[in-house]
Amino acid sequence: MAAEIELKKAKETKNEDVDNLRHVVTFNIGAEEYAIDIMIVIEIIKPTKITKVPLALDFVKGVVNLRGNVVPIVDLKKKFMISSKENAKEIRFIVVDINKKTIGFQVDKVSEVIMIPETQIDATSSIVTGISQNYIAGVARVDDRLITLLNIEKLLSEEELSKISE
Amino acid sequence: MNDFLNNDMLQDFFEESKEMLEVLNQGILTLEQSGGGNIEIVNEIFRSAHTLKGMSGMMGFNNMNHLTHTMENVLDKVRNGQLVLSTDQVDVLFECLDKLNIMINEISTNGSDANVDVEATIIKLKNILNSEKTAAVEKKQSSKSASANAAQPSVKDTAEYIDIDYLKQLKIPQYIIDELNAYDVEKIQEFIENDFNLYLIEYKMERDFLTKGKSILQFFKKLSAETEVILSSTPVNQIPNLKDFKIEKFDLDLFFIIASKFEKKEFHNKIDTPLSMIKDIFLIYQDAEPELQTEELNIPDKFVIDLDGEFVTPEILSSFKEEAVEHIQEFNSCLLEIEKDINHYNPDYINIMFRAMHTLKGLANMFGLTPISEFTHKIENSIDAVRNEKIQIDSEMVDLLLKNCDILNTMLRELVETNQITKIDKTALIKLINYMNIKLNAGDEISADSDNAYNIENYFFGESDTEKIKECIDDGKNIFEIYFYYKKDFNEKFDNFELMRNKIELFGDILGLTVAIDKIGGLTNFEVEDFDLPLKLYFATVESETTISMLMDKSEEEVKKLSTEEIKKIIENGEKNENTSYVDIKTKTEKPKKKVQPSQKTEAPRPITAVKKSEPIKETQAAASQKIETPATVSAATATADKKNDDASSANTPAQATPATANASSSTVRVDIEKLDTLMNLVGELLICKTQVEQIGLTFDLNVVENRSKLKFMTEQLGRVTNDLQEAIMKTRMIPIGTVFNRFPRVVRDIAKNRGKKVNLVIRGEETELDKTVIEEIGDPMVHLIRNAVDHGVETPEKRIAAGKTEIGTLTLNAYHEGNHIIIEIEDDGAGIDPDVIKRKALEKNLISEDEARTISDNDIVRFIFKAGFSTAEKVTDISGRGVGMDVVKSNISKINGIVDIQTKLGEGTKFIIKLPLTLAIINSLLVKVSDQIFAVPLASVIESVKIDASEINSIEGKYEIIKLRNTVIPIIKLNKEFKLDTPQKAAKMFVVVIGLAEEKFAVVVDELLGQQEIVIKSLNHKIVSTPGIAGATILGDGQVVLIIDVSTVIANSKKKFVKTR
Repeated sequence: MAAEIELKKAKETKNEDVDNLRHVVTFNIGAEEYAIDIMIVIEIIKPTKITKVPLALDFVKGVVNLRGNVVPIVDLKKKFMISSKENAKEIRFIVVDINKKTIGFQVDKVSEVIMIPETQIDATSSIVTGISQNYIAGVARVDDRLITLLNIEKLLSEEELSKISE
Repeated sequence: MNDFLNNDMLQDFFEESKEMLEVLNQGILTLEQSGGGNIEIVNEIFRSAHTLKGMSGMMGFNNMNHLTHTMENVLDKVRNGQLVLSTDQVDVLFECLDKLNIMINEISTNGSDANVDVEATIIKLKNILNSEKTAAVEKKQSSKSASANAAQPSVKDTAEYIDIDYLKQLKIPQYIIDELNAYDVEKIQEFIENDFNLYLIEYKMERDFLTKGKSILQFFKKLSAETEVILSSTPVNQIPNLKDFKIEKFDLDLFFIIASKFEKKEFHNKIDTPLSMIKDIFLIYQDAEPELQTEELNIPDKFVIDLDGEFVTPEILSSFKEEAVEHIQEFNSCLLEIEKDINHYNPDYINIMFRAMHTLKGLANMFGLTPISEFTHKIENSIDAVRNEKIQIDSEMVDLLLKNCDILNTMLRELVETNQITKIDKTALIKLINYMNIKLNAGDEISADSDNAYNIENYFFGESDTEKIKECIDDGKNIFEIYFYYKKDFNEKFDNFELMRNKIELFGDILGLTVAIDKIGGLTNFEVEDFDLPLKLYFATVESETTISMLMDKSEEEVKKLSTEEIKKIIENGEKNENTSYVDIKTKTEKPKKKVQPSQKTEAPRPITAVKKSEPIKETQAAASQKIETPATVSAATATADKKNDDASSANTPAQATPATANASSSTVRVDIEKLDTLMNLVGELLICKTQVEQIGLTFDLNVVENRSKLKFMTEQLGRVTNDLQEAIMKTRMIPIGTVFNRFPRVVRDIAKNRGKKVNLVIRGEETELDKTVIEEIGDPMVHLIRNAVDHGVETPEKRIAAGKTEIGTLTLNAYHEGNHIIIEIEDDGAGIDPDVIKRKALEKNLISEDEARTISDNDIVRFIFKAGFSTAEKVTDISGRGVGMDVVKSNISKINGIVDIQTKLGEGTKFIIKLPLTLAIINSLLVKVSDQIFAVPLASVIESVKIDASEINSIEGKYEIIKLRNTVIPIIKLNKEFKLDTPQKAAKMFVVVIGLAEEKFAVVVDELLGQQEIVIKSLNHKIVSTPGIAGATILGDGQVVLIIDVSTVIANSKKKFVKTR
């Protein structure tokens, strides 16, 4: 519903062509609102039992059983080094497909699926988010909200991982 | 071509060629042992080499093709008994196999064999061939010249007069050249000098030609009105053998060479009567337009389809392509079927192939796709020749046909994509045509050696016929040669041929029926209205000549009783020709011919030229085929490269969860259809179960007792089916270990030969099946062990005799199942390993203390050979044998969750025992709990689990801990420390799981033992969760994810610490 309304809004206010809309999932980590492209999202699940993986990186929460597949879960909050309290009931795993590999991201809360017109996205932003600029695809203004669009593929890219392990 | 070179093809190629290599390897070994006498094995080897050649040719791997081709030549010699392989020559063959192996691996990694240098090997092969050839040639030449001189001195002169090369330049097909005599050639030359163009018309006189007589007449009239007919004849060697001659099925081929001033197009127009019987019109010589001389084929280099025409739309074109591709595929698959057993194929295939090409030709014609119709036409012709048994299909022809099919496919694709064909590759087609021509005249060589025949018909008789003739003579029958004509008048008298046959058979035996070649006139006196097919009947009867004449309604002149001498000749010739059923019959008799006009060609045999000219052709052809660079090589390379990448990225099969080395092994499994059937059945059962469970679900009420029992029943059922299903699926991954074992005879042979030892390899249990991934991994370690066994284990014959053993050592490979494991044993009856030597080494290297050395058992001390660095540092080989790279063997085996052990007795032999899991996908494991987390330990590496008291753990130097278990000191591994888990273990009672890898034992301290369970290995395929010490994960019945401990890594890690603390 929310998406539809947003879509309508977007259409009404900006009269944009649908082609120029970015279809994203928005979620919260701490106080910030983020979004990732909906095309890479497989599903959003409630937290299930996590099996810790010894000696793994600290932001790797472990692995979960997703219908018979073992899927690693990354704690985005830890990755971004944000510390805040979250409501345990609202925690979700966003399961995405990155380069044919399935991986889940733990976020504090998933809010909605919206369309953001390209024109509303600033490619480079001066807004300081505390997250390395590498992962940020842009910042969008939707009404009075500021949504950081994440480039989640880059989050776990080879160089990122090697940087960490060093 | 690309259509053919998809990944599946490459995969198939890879697997099949591996198989072939296997066969070759074994075959050559056996051959060497049996001293080359076994024809069956030679045939098998030959076939394998041949198949390899075919496959590599098809895939465009030229080096491989070249090599296999040469190999095939050598093997052919062996097969024909012309060559007995010496040991050195066998070595060359083995070298070939090695090269091939390298090439196949190269192909699977790079998609090309271009990097492998085969020249040296080929030269070696050719040396074998040449050493053989010179001998053979000398022999042949001497006999030939003898026979030529004896038979007819004049032959040579006539032959020389005909300039064969000149005719060849004219693109006159070989079979026609054979028909030409000096006079014809002179005539041809004359016309050419007078600026005529030369055409060759092939014409088929179909069996119902009598009804079509009128149209033929028109055709001839037109021909002679518009052009100069130089000669006409029938390619006599295309007339079938007497045995196979069936008048009902006989079509008479005719050809004409025509000189005309018309240009090709005009000429076509002139004679373009709707005659279905014209098979072909070739331009064989064109004056003043030399650039067109090469145009033997009526195919332009380029072809652009005219889409302006309303008829051919892109849609039609693409549907045409689809259909065409189907036909080509059909054609291809038949070819391949034929190739499987080229000597005994099912003739139906030929018919299917013929139909496929014929239909395709029709289609192409309909759409005006001349290049395609021309191609198909030529191919059809060649198949027709096979169908009519004029030639025998052989591998070379199959290769050529396949190549042409490839080209057809390429053309079709280009045609549909771009509406044009930019480059028409005619080389293969030309080769095919040349090949056919050569083949059609293959008989020349044979007949050239034989005496000038008394009567051409003699050649029609094979041995069986001659026997029949003999019988008839013994019965006191006379043999008659009856000439008659198949014509209207004939029909009036006998209604049909069958009736006539029945009638005359009342009086005697029909020995044979054939076309009376010598009665077919040339075109000059060829009157179609009067043309009746002259036939000749051989008839054995007790009746007199007159009776037969009356019976046949013939004048006595045409019924001729054969004299004894003549019969004798027939019999002799028949026997001579037994093995050459399609002998050429063109060697004409010098006997005066009644109906032949003087203007007709005067026949002259040309035996010597026939031989001379066909040999160089064959050679250049072979050379050409080697040189041809197909674009496929490149595309193959990229295709494989892509595939490799894919493989690498998707390499997440459970087995590869452990760090796997990149290997060139294939990622497909060939599955026995029976196994798949089982799977299908099981899935069917599962479906039934599912619906039943669903049914219960619909009306479920736990309070109803009946439901409860039903549910229980259903869950049991479901459990059973899933178990079976799991097992069955596992089985699809199973392949017999024989595939690994089979490469060992060669290894053993090579080393034994090299070291001057005699070893008999005994293989048992090669049918034992195990997982493909395991099979792939086990090869290398086994080679190592076997090498060692032969190199160091088995003694030299002298030593063996001195030790009171048999001269020949025995190496036994054995494989068998034991529970969920497979045991592989490698046992030799050699010298064994001296434990004292090992002990000394171990002391030297400080691996054991003096005390330990005293107490340690022989078995334990021998296991030190598996220690890294134990053997490689110094040459253990000098003193006791064994050892080189044993640690590699061990680590390879432990990588696939296997363990290796050794038993040896000094002077009696050594036995290596490898214990492997049946599969890598499902393992039996021991579930343990450490710091509240469950881990699975592969049961294969678990030796025992013991409950201990915390006090039993002794700390040495406060740095590392050990436990004494039944007098053995075992180092302790604490998983919570290894894995940095939260809570330290503080229970007074705890468990240790003793894990062992090869000779090493470690005790893993755990909080709790949860029991054994079969687990399915799931890979942790994401980098962020792949951790050293964790082999993968599995999901328990309750959905919980449990990590599987990688025993070898854990041990390796703690060993590092162990060494450090020391």
